[in-house]
Amino acid sequence: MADEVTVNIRLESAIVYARQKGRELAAELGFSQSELTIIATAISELARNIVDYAGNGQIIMQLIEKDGQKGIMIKAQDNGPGIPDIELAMQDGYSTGNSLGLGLPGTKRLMDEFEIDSKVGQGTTVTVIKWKRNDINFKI
Amino acid sequence: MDNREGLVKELVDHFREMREILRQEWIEQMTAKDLIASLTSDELNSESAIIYDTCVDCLETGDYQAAESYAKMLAERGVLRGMTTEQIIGGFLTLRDIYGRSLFERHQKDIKRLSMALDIYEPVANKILSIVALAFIEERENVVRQQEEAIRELSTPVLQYRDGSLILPIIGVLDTHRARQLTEQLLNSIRANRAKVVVMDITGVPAVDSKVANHLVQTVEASRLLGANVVVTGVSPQIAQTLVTLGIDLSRLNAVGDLQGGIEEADRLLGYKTVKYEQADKFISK
Repeated sequence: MADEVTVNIRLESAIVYARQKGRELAAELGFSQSELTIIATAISELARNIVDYAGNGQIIMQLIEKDGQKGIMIKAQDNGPGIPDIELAMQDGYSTGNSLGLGLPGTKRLMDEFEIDSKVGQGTTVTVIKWKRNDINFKI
Repeated sequence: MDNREGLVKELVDHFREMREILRQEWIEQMTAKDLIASLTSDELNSESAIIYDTCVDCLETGDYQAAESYAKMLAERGVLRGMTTEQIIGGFLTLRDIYGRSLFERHQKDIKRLSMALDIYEPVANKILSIVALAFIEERENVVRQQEEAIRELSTPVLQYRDGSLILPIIGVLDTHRARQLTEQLLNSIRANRAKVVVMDITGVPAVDSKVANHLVQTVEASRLLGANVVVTGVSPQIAQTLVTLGIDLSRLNAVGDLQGGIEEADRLLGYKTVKYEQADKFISK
């Protein structure tokens, strides 16, 4: 079982590929169908940002474990122009392109953890995590 | 410099002299490695002779054009005949080794001369290999491009279902290109059929992110400008949940659960009423 997958993002078709790979990887942890859709959509949004704003970059997906909790971490990194005002970019409806402006704030809502690091002229890295809800074990 | 030219000539003469021996050895080795694919022995003889001579010509003249066009032709035919990349590349690697070995044998007593000969021979061999590999990749990419085009041709029919109503079943991934094409096709069909209602079914769309949703919203808006109402059907529970979390405003979309519901809604908007024929049971064999 490979628990880390990297997808290079340059063309739009890579978005679909990244989404499928992420879904497969997350399915190994036993996420529910809706959670898988949510994870796939988040990957889609992050990959889309790379194609639209940076031109090329990478999506790195990894199964992780912390304090007995399992989850999937997705890191989207590019060497694009960077985001001058992160606070503004995180607002609903703000977009420098012709989009709905929901990519970043929407992704943050979809996932459990969200971290963005961007330097103008150097690039952007967005890291998100979705934790697998622990099953509740009933003891009889 | 003179020395180099002299050596090139010497190498070329050597390879021409050894032509039959080396060529036969090549065929033997390829057969042993199972790289021959479906070539008949006549074809194998003529192809191997052409390849052998083309490579020696490249060495002699430093001009790779003949090699390039031959590789291109080989690639086109190889792919058509279902030869694998391994068979083609493997075949050339084998030939390269045979040329190389024969140089070793020839100059084994004079290491200095051998290294000079290899200095000349190796770049040429590498260049030829990269020409072959590139021709192959290019050919594969061509095939992929053609298939992409073919898939686009197939995608998204706009179906007339009643006077004034259209059905648009969307199946597969919506990318920017396809979304644009789809919008254009739908708008033209709305105009041509004087459609008042469109049922857009997205049951077959595996994922909807903010950009795809944006495309759909824009298509709906544009249809409205042409006087057609769009009913969206087939939003799965997972997609519905995701879209709401993403925060996409879909209040302008008229959505109905499934295609059947969508058609009923379209009928209602057009003023049709579906009534079951009383004696219908008679026509259905049990």
